Amino acid sequence: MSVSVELSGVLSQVSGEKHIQVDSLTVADALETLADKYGDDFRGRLFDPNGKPRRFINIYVNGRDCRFLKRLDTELRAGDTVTIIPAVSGG
Amino acid sequence: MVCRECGARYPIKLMYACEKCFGPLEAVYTLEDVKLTPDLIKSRSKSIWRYHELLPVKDRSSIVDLGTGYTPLHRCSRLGAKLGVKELFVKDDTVNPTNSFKDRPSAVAISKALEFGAKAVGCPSTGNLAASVAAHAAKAGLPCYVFVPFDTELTKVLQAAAYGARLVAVKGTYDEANRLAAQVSERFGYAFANINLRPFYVEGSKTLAFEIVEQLGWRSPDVVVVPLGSGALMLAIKRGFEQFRKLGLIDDTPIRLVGAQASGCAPIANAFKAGDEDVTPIEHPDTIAKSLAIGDPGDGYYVLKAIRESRGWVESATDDEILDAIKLLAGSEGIFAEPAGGVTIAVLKKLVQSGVVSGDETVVSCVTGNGFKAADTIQGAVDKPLLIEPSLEAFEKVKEVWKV
Repeated sequence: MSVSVELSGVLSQVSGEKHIQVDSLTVADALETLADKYGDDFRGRLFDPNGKPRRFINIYVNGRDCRFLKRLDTELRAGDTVTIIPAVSGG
Repeated sequence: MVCRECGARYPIKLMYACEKCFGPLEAVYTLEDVKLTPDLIKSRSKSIWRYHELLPVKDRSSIVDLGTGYTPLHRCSRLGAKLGVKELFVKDDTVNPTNSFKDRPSAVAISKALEFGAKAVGCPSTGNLAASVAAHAAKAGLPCYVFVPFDTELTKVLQAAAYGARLVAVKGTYDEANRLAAQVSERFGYAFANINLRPFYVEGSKTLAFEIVEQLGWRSPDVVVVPLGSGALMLAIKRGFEQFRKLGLIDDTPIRLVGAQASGCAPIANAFKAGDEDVTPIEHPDTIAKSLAIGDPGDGYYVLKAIRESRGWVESATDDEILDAIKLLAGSEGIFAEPAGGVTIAVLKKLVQSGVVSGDETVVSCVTGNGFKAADTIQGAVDKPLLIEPSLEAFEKVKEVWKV
């Protein structure tokens, strides 16, 4: 499925792109595709040493936090937008 | 600045997340160079700036001072007797310049924004921070953009508007307003108090701990009860106590940290009770304690850790319990709190009843915002005036209502 990924901050600096099209079936799949595409530096920022997405990265599918969907197993459909941004503490 | 997650170090600049792991950045101090004594502190102005060596503003000409801090620490014997606590104190931040504790972090943030030469400031807010940042921005002469969820109490937004803020009501939750504000700050290079100024902003709240120690006569409380939204306030208070320990201003007596949340938005309390290491966010907070309605508390993981390490507790209170606690505090001690303040009293009441907090402990409960901030919410819970004719007979009749 062709989905749009939006990156911000340091992730977009490392990838050199803010908007990317990837073919992925799930959020996990999209993250893996990006890490393969942009190399170890990008992978190291996206995933912790255990291979899990870092605690302070939030992932949204069409604007909705994927933790309210099926987390990394959230399925993606053609035309969906995945946004990856550093968590903001707020308060 | 240092990353709390991975320890990476950064020069001081407008940024909030570690470039390596996105962990939150914190200001670090060379405490060996700080020479503070009770006498020196006592000789200074009664505001947060009496502890300026422990705040991250270097250029003192940048300080924006509305007189924030050094708020009363009330000994609350009547409330203590009702709750079963012998030595109960309320730290009354309802009397700060814009009537909430947020004046502490925003005073530091806007001072730092001036130091950085920022062209505009702002924040996402549940209401209290909006008013506070707007007031400090006005004093600093900087334009201010404020992002609030559309259902924020009208009075809080009015306050920010009066200070001249450019208000944006976001059709969504606080977390959505927060995310939008983060994107705006990145796109336009604005200095937002709780976003890219965050490492400095959170430092301001430490002064609550400093003042509690000073006002208790240079000793620490056994228990401190703190409302939890993002969790930043609790971490700041913990850091404040730690810094005073390192400076030898208090001893190593343990301080138990107790977090208070509203049942309609209690992600940290839920994780605490479930024994979880991390917090599962709440998508749709539903509570009258709007200033605590943060479903995705950024500091939740660290707050859980800090509270467990201190052998503390996290508890939540329902909206009805919060309103009862607001009336109990106001009616016993003359302190009119917003729901976030009611939360700490309601939670303390529960924890004394369940034995988590002992009546023999010295307890400080932080009341962080004024009741007028949530007048719309509270007005339905208090008695209406009794309408009478202007005669003594009429008064004698209604007097019986109060059985006096």
